[in-house]
Amino acid sequence: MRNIWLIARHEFLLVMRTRGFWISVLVAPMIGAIASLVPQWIESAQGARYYILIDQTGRYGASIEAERERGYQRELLEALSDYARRYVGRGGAFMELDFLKPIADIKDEDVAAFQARGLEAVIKILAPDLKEGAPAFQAPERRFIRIDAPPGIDPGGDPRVIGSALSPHLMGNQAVSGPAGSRPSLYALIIIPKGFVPGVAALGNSIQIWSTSVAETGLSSELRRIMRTLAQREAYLAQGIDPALVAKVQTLAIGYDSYNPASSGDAARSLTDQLIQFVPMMLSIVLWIITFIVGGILLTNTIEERSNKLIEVLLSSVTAEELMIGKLLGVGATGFLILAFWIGAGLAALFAFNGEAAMFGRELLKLLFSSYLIFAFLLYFLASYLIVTAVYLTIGSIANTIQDSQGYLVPVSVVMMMPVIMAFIIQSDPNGTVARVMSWVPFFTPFVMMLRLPANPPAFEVAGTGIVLFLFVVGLLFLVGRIFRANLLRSGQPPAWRELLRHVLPRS
Amino acid sequence: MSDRCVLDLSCVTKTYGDFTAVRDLSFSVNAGGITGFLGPNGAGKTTTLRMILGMIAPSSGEIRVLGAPNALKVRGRIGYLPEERGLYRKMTAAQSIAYLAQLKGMNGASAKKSALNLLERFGLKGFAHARIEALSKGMAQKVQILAAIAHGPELIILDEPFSGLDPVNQQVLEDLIREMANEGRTLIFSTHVMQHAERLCDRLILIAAGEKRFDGTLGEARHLLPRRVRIAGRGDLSLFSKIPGVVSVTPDSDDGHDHGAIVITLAEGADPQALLRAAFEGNVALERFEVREPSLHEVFVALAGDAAREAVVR
Repeated sequence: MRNIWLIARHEFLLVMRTRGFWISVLVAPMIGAIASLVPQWIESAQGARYYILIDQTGRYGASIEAERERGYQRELLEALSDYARRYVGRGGAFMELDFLKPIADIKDEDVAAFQARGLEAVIKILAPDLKEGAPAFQAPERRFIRIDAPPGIDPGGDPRVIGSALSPHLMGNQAVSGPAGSRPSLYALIIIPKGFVPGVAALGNSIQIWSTSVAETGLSSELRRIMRTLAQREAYLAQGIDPALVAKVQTLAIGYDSYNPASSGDAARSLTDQLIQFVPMMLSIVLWIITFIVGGILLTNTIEERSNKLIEVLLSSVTAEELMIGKLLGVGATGFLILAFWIGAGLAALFAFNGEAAMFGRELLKLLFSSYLIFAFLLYFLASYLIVTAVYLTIGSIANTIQDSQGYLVPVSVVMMMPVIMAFIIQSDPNGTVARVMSWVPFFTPFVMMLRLPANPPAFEVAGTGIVLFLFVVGLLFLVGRIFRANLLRSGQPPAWRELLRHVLPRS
Repeated sequence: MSDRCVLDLSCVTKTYGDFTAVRDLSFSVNAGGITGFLGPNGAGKTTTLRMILGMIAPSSGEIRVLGAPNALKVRGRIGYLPEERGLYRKMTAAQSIAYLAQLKGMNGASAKKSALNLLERFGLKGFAHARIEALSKGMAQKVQILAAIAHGPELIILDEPFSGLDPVNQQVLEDLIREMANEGRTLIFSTHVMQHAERLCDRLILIAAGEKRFDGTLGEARHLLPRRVRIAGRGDLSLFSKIPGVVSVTPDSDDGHDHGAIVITLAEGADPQALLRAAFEGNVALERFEVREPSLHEVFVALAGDAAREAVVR
């Protein structure tokens, strides 16, 4: 037992001294952070983008702008609510400004109330209750700003002519300027042609959106939503319906409560309920990445020990079994360290960023430590770690060099990739045939069952796959122990498959 | 097995498939002294040492080390230096020695202290906290040797300990081996460099092709081959062939003189003085008369040469 502890501690410290380990540990969350933050940075670095709206009918332009302004005011209110929750003490200001509430609870009438007060007035009210050292409120930047068509463009002319005339601006050959300064190109040109009639799709009479940003969806989807509302209002009014009634109907607040029969069955779906769908996916990806990082470390260390003949010194002091178990435990501990580090870093980032994210972080913590998920995760993590590392340890004990090991790693990696490739199918139909069949394959059980757990798979499947997994891990470790012992002192060519099989099969 | 017996091999055989690496090997080693375990490449030395250390199990036969049926049960009393050396590149010299000593049963503090003492004693104090990857090959080898003895073992097994060391470090190691033997420890080292064995060993065990060919002292080994006398001088050198006890007379091709030079091989028990008397009586003007004991190298070649040649051909 003492030797296992010594080897485990040694392996742990050895990994801690490896620069590559720290690079893996730090780089993965950094990639995650970059992947989520870069699009936002690019977005904000670009600043507001300009578009030109030419309404040849004269009926929609002003309304579109009013709707877009309301959207912006909502964004403003959301940012201000978040700001207030972080920097304003719970005093009179909150009582007075009852429209400052969590984002999910903000309704159209709150936006209207806020708009009626005006940003400056609200900030003035908040000022006396601001906590010490609170920064000034930064209003979110407008993403799209409407500018007028440049001189020389006839707004009433043929849309195609207008489009051609503005092409140099759209393609970035000619800069445009507006309230936020000069921009190298015009983001979009929207033309509502003279003959546009809602509900009648005739060639040449549809709304035209000119833009070089093929992937652009922000502005056009907003436009589509606004136009649908406007067209509906127009249609209602044409039927002689009271404009006040139309306005009321169109701003009807629709309450949504989601229910998940797999969770409580009778309670409205909370943020925790939503997280329970997302967290297993996240955890299983983390599980997958960590087992591969750790497996790789174990593989390299074992090959190093064999190639520089250290193994012989070790085997004069400990048994092959003690060496194997010590290695699995020591390197495994580094896996748990990575896990703790990533979860810690993720939560720290969530708490550091802003109030909404902090709430998300609290919910995440609540979920992690109040549900069975964390226990299931730790057990599946352990099983998955043992399977992957047992396979890697086998490769480490038969390959003389890293190059040798590549030949064995390719088929192993293909098998291990399977659940990741299938993750989407499994999550979209957690109790479907694919998910159920894959659950019974011990190589995949930990990943697949993690994804399935929120959908409450049948108890016999959870228990059955768990038993099969446990037996598989025990059996695998036993067989790997045999291969490990038989090959540690071998030199020269890696053994052929037939020879490996002989090591695995019981001696006659 | 007597109380003084630290190692006993009885009819030990190791086979790998159809190949027999060690065949029916038996010998025992008593406490104290230095035993040379000799043999050509591929003779089965390393396999035997690995079986002694419990790393691999014999196919048949029995091994008892320090009274135990498996060396791992008494690993704290055994030190081992393998033929091919290696240490963890990222660990320091002191850490490496201390870690391996701990695996031999020492507690952390004592292992660390022992490591630092040894490094100081062998001139590596300044490198105690240097990583192995920063040390020269010779230094790293020294560290590994120190790691094999840091826990104060009673039985020390060294597999080709001199390979890769420069002459200065070979001398340092020879002195260390003698010192450990003087402290009452038992040393077994394998080598195929006969000079080291000649200088160090009280006892020799020679194996070839997996079988024991000799087990005894250096003197006994030398008696296995007939003595030779090199004679150079003027006169009738053919008279020596008629003297009783002379087995053969051959020209001495190594002699640089322009007169006659011969090598006489004597039968066991024959007296070289008879040759000297015959030279005076036959009026041979002697310029050289050298009685040569057979070297261990010659004994080795005579006993294991066939197996070594077969191994090369194989």
